[in-house]
Amino acid sequence: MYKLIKNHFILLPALFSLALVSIPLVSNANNLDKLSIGGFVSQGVVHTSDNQFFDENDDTSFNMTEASLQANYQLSSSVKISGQVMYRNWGKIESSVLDYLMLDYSFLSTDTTNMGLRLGRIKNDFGLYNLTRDIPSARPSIFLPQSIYLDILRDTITASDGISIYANHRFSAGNLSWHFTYGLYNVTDDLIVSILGPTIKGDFSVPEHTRYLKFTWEPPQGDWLISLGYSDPTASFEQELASTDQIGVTPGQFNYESYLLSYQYYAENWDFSLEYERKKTDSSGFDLYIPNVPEQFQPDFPPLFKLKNVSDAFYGQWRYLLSNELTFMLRYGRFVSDNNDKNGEKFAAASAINAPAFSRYTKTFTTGLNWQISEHWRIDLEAHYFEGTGIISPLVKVDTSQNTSKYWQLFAIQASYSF
Amino acid sequence: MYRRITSLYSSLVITLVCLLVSVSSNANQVQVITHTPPQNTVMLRTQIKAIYLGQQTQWPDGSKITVFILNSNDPSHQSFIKEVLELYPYQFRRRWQKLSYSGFGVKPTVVNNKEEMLLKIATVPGAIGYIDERIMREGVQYVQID
Repeated sequence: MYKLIKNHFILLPALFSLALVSIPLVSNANNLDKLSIGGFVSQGVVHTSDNQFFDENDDTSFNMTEASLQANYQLSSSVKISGQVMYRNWGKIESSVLDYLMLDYSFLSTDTTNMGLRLGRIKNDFGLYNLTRDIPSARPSIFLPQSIYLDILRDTITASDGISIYANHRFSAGNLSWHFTYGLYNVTDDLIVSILGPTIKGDFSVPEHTRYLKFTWEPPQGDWLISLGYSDPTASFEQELASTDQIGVTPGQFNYESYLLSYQYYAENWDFSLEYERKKTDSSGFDLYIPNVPEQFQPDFPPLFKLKNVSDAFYGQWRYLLSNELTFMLRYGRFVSDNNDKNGEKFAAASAINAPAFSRYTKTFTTGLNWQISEHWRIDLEAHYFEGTGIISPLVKVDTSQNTSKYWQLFAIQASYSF
Repeated sequence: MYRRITSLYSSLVITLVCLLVSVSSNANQVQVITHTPPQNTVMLRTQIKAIYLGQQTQWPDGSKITVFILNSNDPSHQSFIKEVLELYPYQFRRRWQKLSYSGFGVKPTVVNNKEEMLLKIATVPGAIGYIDERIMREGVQYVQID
């Protein structure tokens, strides 16, 4: 509840000012055609066989409600403002957020080139699906391929507050699009728990701006595309030490560097997607100490963890259009926490808390069905078969006691109405 | 007898072929139309595609482009996507889902039939649309695709 209030604290003034700006604009009938609105509501049910991925308890959860309201207003021929508010009750997380709110200025428009600037809170166009990862009608499945679109790190990639430059160049050989975004992402409580687990309390902040870059190439016929993305998010941590804590953790920082290669091929009745990510992770700080003991008397602890690794992840996805309304999907994905320890055995052998080897990788097989009942209504149905818990205890999670099953499954169904 | 059958057969084939040819020549090619005063009477296919995929939102003179489409299950919409944009209808639909919900693009305006399409193109400055038959109308210009 506190979380909800805290989020509304930002949301309400933003909504209010948006409404204030739009009332005089909309009340003039001539301006109505410059305004467009959209949105969706959805409800789902999830059954998780074991482990803690979606909700607090295993088993069946109805905590899957999402809704959004979005508006665009054309201020002039080259400037528009767009925003979206979103309510998301997703397992353990309940939030209302200003998903994006940006000014878009298209400053160059010729027969062969377009360029523009975006300013404000901007969605990150990373990979094939990040832009609309929360939109039921625009994603291939309710849960995106977790090997690439890790839900536990979604904060670092969802949107950034900053500036973005984008361009589209048309050549006879094909079409090149690119964008560069520079900004700060928003940290929610979820990221802290995802990274460190529930036992260590503290705050994450974003010490540096993140750079997001993406190039996409498409041939003139548009039957395939290839893109390369880059991002370098960082996060720093400061512990909230309780008076009862026997042991403390010094401030620390995580740095990621991610390269993502995406490929998509389209045929008349099917399409194939492949995404491959290489991620470099390192950390500094996170040393252990005993609170209220002078430095000269501190024992020589090893750090809580020290990360310096390279990890690869990929998935391949095939979708087949059974009819105009029905799409069938098959997907296989793989995630490893460390390329030098793909099966997690070295990690398990060195673990002081007997963390299992399977907590360092995940292999996933997914199958699903989308049923587009009408222009507005859609039903998604899917089954995920997992080996390993790497995608749910990715980094350093000190407490792995909740994720004890090597083999686990997830079944989900969701109905959505989009307009 | 045998000869009669073959000649009957061949005349049947010829009739069929003629029929098919006349049907296909009657089948109207989808044509791109814009509001006049014209931006250009000749447009590049890549440019039309960029406009319909939300990448280009202004005409080269800086004025706003307003994009119109027919309902997604209208046969001329389907042929426009396939023949002019050289995409499959599902690609077009998915691209717009992505663009509109991220705020990166504003969805084309849907019109119900070709009469409404003509009316919009004739009256909205900077409008672009398509039609499967050549109907002359004040303010509507037919674009030649290069």
